[in-house]
Amino acid sequence: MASGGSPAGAATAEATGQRLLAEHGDALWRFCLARSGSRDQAEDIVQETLLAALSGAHAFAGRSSERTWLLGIASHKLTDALRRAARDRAGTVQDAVDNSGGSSPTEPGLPRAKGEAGLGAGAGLPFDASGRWTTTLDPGALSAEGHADRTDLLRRLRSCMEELTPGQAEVVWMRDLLGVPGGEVCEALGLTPTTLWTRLHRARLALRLCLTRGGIGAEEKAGCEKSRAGRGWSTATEIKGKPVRGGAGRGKELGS
Amino acid sequence: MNQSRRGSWLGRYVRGVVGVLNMSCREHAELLSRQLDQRLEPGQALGLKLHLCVCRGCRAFGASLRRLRSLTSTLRDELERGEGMPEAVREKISRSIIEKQQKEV
Repeated sequence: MASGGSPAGAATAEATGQRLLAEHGDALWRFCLARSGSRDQAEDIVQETLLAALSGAHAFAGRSSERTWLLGIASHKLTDALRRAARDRAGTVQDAVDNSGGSSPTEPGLPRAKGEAGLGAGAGLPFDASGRWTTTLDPGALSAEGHADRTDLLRRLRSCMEELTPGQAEVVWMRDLLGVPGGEVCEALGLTPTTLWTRLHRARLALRLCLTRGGIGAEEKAGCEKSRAGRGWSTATEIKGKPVRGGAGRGKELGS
Repeated sequence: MNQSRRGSWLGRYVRGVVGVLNMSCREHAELLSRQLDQRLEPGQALGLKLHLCVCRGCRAFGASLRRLRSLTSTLRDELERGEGMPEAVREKISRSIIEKQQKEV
């Protein structure tokens, strides 16, 4: 959508820019305002997004809708801005974890978070080396009986989303909050399906952990294991404080 | 021909079930998360169901994932009902588009 430098090209690009602003301005504004929490930053990002779309720096390939394409550009710009802000604040490196496509940062060969603040990928993986649950899971976690509880959960969810790494946050926003289909999210953010699903999963683990941390319903010990020696299955109800017995998971990588 | 096709489908189905049954809880948790977005292979879906029958931890995790999805759906509704772009901001961005194109020429 570049103007090409000629007056006719510039007029076409200007008309395209005005059309994009008219058709997608509100959606871009809501997204940028909700994610950044700042009207000034939302204004800057929407403006930069539309100008970038017109400059041809982010070519529209037509494999997703025009709105998804614009939301993808805006999401990249927001993520960059949030990463810069996070680095300025704490000097943390979050990209290594965000860019890995593996299922666990504890697996060999995968980059690890270095001094990552907040809900990093490692914080959301309650499994031991053999892939068994190490934390207690409450079957009633995240359930809200009344309106007040649900309102409180929503307030905490907004707060927990701010603690996700920028890379996790952008996929949760695109997929879960904007409802963009997975294939279009991959196209808009330049991710492979494996990376998208892994980031989404880690983000959900991290959000769950954040929401249940000292929150509604104390987690109880609930575990799961398989008796491999006997080639059979057994349920295991652990007693608090006692180690989980037997059963080794293979920890193999999932395909996309 | 039909028999061999049925045989290969059955083989894939059984391999899917067995493959999932041999997974660790970490991998089952990934499947539970992926199931929110994608339809699993029939064999994988059955393997996961069988695992959930015997695993309280994964059952609890699956339930909390569904509740988390419900909460994010509420946030999505709020987002869609949110205020549109203020007119002053719209005019400012519109002017910046015009200026940018004039500079290009």
